Amino acid sequence: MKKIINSLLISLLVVITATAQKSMDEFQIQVDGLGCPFCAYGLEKKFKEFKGIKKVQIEIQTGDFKFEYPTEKQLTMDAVVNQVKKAGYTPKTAKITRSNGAVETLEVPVNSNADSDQLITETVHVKGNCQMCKARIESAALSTKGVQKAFWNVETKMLEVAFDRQQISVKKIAKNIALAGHDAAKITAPKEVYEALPVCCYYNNPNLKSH
Amino acid sequence: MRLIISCFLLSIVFVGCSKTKKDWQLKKEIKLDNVGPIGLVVLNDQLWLSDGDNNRLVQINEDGKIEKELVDFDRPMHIAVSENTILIPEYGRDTISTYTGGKKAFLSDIPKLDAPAGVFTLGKEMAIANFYSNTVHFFNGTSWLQIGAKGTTEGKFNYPTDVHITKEFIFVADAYNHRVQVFDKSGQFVKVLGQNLGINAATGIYVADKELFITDFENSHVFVVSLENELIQEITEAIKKPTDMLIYKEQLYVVNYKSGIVSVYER
Repeated sequence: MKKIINSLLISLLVVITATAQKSMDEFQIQVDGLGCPFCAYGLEKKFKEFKGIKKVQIEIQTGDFKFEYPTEKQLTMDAVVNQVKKAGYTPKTAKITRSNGAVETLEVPVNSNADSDQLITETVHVKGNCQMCKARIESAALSTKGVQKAFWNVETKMLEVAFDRQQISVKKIAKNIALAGHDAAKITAPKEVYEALPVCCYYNNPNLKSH
Repeated sequence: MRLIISCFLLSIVFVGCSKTKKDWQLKKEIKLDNVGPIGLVVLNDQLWLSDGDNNRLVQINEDGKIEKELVDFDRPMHIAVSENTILIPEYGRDTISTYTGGKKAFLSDIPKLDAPAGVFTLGKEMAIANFYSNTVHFFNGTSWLQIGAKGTTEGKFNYPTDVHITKEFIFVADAYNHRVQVFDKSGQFVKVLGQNLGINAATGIYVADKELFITDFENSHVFVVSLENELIQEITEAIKKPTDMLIYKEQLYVVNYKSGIVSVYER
């Protein structure tokens, strides 16, 4: 009888342990423009400070950012993407594998339904500093409905943007870019958004002089 | 007349030689295999690199082949050597580790750190660049001194990433203030260097007898300036996202994070 009870207890323990081990959701986010190790390691470090987070890892070369988070916390895709953006990074794709096996994916929109007949191209001055800025600026432009192409030149600070003039204006595109943290045309980024950018992106530092 | 022409020609040759001597020329590139190098030191005639991306230190030979590997660091950054010890600032673990004769340990009795990005020692002195707290901690052999605070004016930092101590001064790579700052050993601001060069991220420094070497990570440049802030040379050949340098056996070694190459120059 003792043997049976012991076996049952051991089985129960194994099941509980297995359940506990499985009760973590896995998050995989691909981040664009991770060029600077100081900032990238900083993102990793800051995420490690979240209570309950495990196995935080960033692969700089590929931009793959992974971590595990307790299932009970019910961390949503939107919350993750927003947190990554809030930390100043630009997510391209995201995938959550829940502990029950369910998979959620997200493709961050990079192009919208622009009508090619109505497309015009304009050039806008956008403040920024580095490859991480470039990823953020282009992503903010491309996620604006009606924008088809966006290319920001790190050297000249000029954004070339092709968009459907029936759907959107330069001013609205610039506003979206400013909301992502970058002064665009004559629209200034909100102070709190600018200050949340990674340190290499601080384009308003008075000590920064063009090369 | 012949004498004048000869003197003139000799002068030209002399000036030419002087100029050549001043310029660092690319000698070779050492290709590394899957290393994201940040820091570089020489210990017992061996080159060691901190591989931040792979959380390890590697000892390489002159061909770039990894001969020894130390693992389980958490984002090791600008390393330093003190006698037979390598000092390793662990950015992700907020500590300074040591490696001596095959043994790893941690430094105790150091200030509280938040992402240490660089360390340097000279005799009993030590300096640590404390990235997120925007300070430099300096040990003068007796006690610790804290230098700086977040800001953009003289004496303040915007994320310091590297430090170097000389007989008289402490040099700080004030990375995102795009300059190098110099302090005396009581922590008083002395001067700024490199502020006129258009540096985008002054992430690494090395101080020789009369020259300061600065890596500009974002612009992929290495600047050589005099300690009076005169530009001596701007190196761009074989430079791709540089993070650290040193002079060893009269050759300049530059670590390139992006390309995973150590570029070697001579003059």
